[in-house]
Amino acid sequence: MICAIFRNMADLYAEGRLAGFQKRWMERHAAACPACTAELAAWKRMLAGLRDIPVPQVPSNLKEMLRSALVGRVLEETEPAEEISGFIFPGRSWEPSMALAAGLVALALSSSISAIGPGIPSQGYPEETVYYTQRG
Amino acid sequence: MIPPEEMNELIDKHAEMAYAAAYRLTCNHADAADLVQEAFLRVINKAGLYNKDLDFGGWLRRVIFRVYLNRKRGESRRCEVPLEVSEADRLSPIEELSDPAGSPDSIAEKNELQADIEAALRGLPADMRACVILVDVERRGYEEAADILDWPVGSVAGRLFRARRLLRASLAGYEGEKI
Repeated sequence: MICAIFRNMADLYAEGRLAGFQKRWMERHAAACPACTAELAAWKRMLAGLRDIPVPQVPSNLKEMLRSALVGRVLEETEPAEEISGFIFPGRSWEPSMALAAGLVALALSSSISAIGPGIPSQGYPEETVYYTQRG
Repeated sequence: MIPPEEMNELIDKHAEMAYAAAYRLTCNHADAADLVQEAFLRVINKAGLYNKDLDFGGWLRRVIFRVYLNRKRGESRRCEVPLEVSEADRLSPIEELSDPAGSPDSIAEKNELQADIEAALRGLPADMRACVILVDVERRGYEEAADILDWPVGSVAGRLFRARRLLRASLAGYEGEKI
């Protein structure tokens, strides 16, 4: 059980990421447990091996290849930093402030027309129908 | 827009770093060159965001890792190399190894260990490999790796934990506890 805990933290110890009390615990356990000492040594070697992986050699024609592929496209394909903000209608693009102003004008016009307009005929009072009955 | 002269300068300055990162990810010269080219193209397409004070190398590195991971995610068929490294992989010569120090025996042993480690690294899933490359190979902090990969730090730590154990198990399996 203790060895399992040790092995779970062995890489962090080898990496130097443990707190002081954890490091001391690991060292005490390693001093008493040869198997865990070997495990820790294996982790250290593996991590050192990863660090020592050499930088790959770059093909001699890489830069030329990149230049020929890219430099021609610098002039052709560039996007703007931000997308154009605003509303795009066919044939024109409105700034947000202009669109807001236009919306407010439309709202004012429609409300004023409904206020001063003739209203809807069906809302009027129906004509009174008078029925006469003949007497006698 | 990046002027062509400046683009040339950026290529001169960053192509090698970009290629090294791409090769470590792809483990393949052709794919690495392709990845570098795509990363540069993407950066050019966002040329409006470019300014001279920007850390262009860091930006390019981020793009390389993200393009690579997106590609891998998008692949319908995954062709990962199994963790049990094949005999061909084990015996393949390592082109780029160079270790000037030590006796011939120790150099040979170290080269063999590194060959084994590289082969095991190639067998990791792409996301785990990216974490190992950033933290263990390039010795970046967890936070920096998380920033490059655009993941939370906890995701990097979790993947790294699993990746290291896979590597460890893989190496112990066929080397007879050599490390």
